[in-house]
Amino acid sequence: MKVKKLFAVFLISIAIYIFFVSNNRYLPIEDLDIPAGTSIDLVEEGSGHKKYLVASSVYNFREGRSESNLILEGKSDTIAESREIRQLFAAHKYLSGSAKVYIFGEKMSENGIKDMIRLAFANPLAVDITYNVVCEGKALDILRFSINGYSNSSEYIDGMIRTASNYNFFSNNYKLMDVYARVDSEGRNLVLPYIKIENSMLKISGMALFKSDKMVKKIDIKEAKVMNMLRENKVTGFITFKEGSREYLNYYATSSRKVTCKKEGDKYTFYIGLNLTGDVVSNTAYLNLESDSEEKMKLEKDINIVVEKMCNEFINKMKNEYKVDCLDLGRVAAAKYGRMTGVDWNEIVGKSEIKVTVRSSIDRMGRGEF
Amino acid sequence: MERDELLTPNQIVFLLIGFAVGPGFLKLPNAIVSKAYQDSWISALIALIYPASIIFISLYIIKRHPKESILYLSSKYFGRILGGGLNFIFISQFVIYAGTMTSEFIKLTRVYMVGYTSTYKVAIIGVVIATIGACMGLKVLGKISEIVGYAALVTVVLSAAALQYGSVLNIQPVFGAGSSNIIKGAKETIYFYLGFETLLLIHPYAQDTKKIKKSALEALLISGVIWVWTVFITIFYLGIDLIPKSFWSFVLVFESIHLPIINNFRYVAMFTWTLIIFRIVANDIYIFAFGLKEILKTNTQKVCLSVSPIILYLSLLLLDEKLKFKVLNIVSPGFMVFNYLYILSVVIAVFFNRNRRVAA
Repeated sequence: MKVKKLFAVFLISIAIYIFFVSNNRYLPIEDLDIPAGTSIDLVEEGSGHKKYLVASSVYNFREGRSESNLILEGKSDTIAESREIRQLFAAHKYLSGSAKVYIFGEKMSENGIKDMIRLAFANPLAVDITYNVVCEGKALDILRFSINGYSNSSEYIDGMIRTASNYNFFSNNYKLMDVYARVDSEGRNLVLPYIKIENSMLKISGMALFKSDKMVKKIDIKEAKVMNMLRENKVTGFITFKEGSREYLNYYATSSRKVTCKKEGDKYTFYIGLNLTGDVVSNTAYLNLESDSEEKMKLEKDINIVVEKMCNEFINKMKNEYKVDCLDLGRVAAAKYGRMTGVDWNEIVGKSEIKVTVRSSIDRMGRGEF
Repeated sequence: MERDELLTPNQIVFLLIGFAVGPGFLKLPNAIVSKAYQDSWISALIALIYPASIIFISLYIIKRHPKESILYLSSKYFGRILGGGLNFIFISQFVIYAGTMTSEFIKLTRVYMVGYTSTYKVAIIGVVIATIGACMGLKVLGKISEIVGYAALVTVVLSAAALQYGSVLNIQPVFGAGSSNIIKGAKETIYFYLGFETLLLIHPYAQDTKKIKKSALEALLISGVIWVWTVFITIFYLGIDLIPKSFWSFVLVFESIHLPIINNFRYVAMFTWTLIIFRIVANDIYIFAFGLKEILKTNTQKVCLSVSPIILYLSLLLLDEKLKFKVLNIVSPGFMVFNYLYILSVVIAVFFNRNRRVAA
């Protein structure tokens, strides 16, 4: 029995030895280039030859230099290959897949972001909570943009996208995981925040609409707000209306959306039910809102009309101008009438009738009226 | 045998789960979704007929012969040569499964955890650990199965976090795939659902024979819930278009779990999964050695040690995905049919011999 035990100990020791004496090198954090954000651009190099320009702004953990924004650039035929080029400039090992944001240049987005998505999806080290944004012009300019108090712009953008969901009905579904689930899934389309530099500040200026992995349209923030309200569930934002010069009302609402679909012959009809509940934040237009329940009902009716008008305007534009199902309506129809039938939901949604009904309710009115 | 060395009812539950639930179910959704689309979870549910029928047939044999394993019965009724041959075929399937599981282990850990280590090292470590476990004997395996089983249950239950992110639209229309596709999907599960046959080998070691029925059904319930849940939640969270793109689609579901302190729950889940693989490989090695002991009266530990190089070789051979696909395509339906015929013929023999016993 003792011999057996000794043998077992011997075996285990060897196993542990083999395990640890590999060419595995542990590196201290100072010797790693940990990316904060990565920008991906497509650049044309004469005669229509396209190359990827990939840049990463990396953290510098050396003492006393934590503020500097170091950007490594690499231009190559494929995205992964650019790591090789970047290493030629870098002093440390690059840790791929841990960026906080991916910034896609406009040209890159129009040409298709699938190459980047494919790369991230295959990487077992990738964190799938990385945010994705599209930017105006070249993404590298955004990466280079310096903001006071921040070591790099990527961290700032990460914060921008994270907190955008407080207003404008933005959701939080711009992470890599969401991109995987939306690109190429039946009846779904990707939308990403569109950022640009305005008055030397970074700004979310709207949304980029994708068909599969290609950006087909960008819309401004006003339209993006309506789209978000119609597209996402449980998102918050302001609804404001003005009557005359001094009379106005701000309504801070949380939306919930329910889509149903009916098919008659070849024709689909979509019904979007939008429920808004929220608080009146500021009000000069309606008198005695707190005590008068009739006035309250009138306000709710007015909100319904205003929001419905906004939504119908957007839907008309979507059907006639954007020609992409950015409200993910095809998904609802596919879930009801069968998948894999080979229909193009973008086309069908463009041709079908979409009816919006809004029901709003006032929850609270604050602590008083001044 | 002393009562302490026998298996408690709870250990039987987890031993059976330990034989049935392997690393395979990380890719179970992939296997079915290509055939049954959004209705894959129904396929997974229907396919439970196989383990359920095996358990019910087994329970009949156990009722008649509570202290004799199927290997003993088959050599008793069919003679030493025919019975022994059948027995050998029956137990040899576990060597193949141990090989496929280990190759699965190598692939999984080298992608997600130990990318810096070579294939051979991972393979050797895996087989060595499993062999040590197998050498410890049935009682220890029962205890290991219990502990690992609880850990696995925790991770599976935590995957329910994906419920808040997915959408019910992903699994609709229910029955939209068509019944023929659902049946086709059910066929894909055979390899994943094998393993409950071992009940007929371990039942003589139960502390309380009367509780075997309850234990077996509990094991079936838990494994069934794990299998169906895995397929369901993966489709619910990812949708059927994304699942085929990932090699181990269930791992992606863990991305939805955000716990404080742990920045990526995937690593915790993978750690549990390696334990599950060690458990199933150890169990498979042990049951082969155990069977060989019954047939040839050999020493269990010696067989465990001598079969491990074969498993190591098999696992490295089966790393070739195409070969593995081919082998499993023949082996798993083949053994499914064989297991049915083998166990049923023993049942028939038991049935016709029941009177003789009474007469004698």
